[in-house]
Amino acid sequence: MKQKIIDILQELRPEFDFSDNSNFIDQGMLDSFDVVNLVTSLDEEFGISIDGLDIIPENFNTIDSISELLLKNGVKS
Amino acid sequence: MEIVNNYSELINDINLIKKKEKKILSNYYQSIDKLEEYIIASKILKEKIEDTLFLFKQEHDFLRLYFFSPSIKCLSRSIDQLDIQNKSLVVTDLIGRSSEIGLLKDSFLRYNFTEYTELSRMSRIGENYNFVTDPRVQKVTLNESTDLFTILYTNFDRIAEQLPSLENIKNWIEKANVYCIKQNGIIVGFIIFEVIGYSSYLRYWYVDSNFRNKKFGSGLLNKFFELSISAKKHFFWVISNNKNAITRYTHYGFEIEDLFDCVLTNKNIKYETKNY
Repeated sequence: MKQKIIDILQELRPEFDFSDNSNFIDQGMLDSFDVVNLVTSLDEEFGISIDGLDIIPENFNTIDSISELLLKNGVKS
Repeated sequence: MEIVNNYSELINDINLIKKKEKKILSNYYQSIDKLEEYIIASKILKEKIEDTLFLFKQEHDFLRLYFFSPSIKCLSRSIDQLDIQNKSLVVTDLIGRSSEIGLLKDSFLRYNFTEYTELSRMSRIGENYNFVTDPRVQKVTLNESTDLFTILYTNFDRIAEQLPSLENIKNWIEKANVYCIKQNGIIVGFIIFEVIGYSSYLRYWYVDSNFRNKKFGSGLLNKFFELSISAKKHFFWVISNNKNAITRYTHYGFEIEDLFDCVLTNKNIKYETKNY
């Protein structure tokens, strides 16, 4: 799952190395519009529907927090 | 419409929608807590129709509309009942990839909204740029915040270009990068940008039309490149049909992304004619 997340992030913002970083939002690697696109990509890739209220920076700051969000939505690790 | 009195009231309203459906459809892309300062200032109004919550944020002389709805079907029905034609000027933004905003846009256009304009996001890789420091470029001071405010509201579009309040401008002067070029002590060009980690956001870039061809614009933009040196990507929003501006940004290495902001209003007004 984590590799898939990294692949999606890499496609979204190819200029960054997401596997070797954390605090994506705080470091300006993702902004609110990237998060919107990321949510769409995650929904499509994992066949889920991420709740609008879960679209908060804390859930997208690290690979682990994104993974937790996917697990919460029923994706198996 | 009624005033939202506190933050928890808003969260309760959204949670009620959440209980209906797993997914919430919304055009509000930031954390809800960012609305708190507006709630305290009594600048957030709400209207609940069926299972859709509409929020109206008082901005300048119009209301910016956000929606929270369990589905596009429900949203369409609710927009139909919103009695939008009898409201003062309402503006709403639909942001997303071109393939994603079509259905949403249709729902609004069907029920008395019209397209005001569209913005595209442009970006460029923050590769090394041989910037040249222009000694005419200087930092804007807090004393000049009102001048800057006036220039912004005279030369930019308050509906489409998300203009800052005077307070926002003061904050930017203190915390962000606000630079200008003056002639005879008067600001004739300025640039406002924010560097957030690896990303740099060019907010506003302006040169008075009476002072063009003096390389003021490139002097200001060079300041942006100089102070964005740590950023790996630079971003900017531009009116999609402003070909001159797009050509200018393309010259500096910006490219159009597949991310659009479709600006709709409840009045039959257009960016091009500014008939409001």
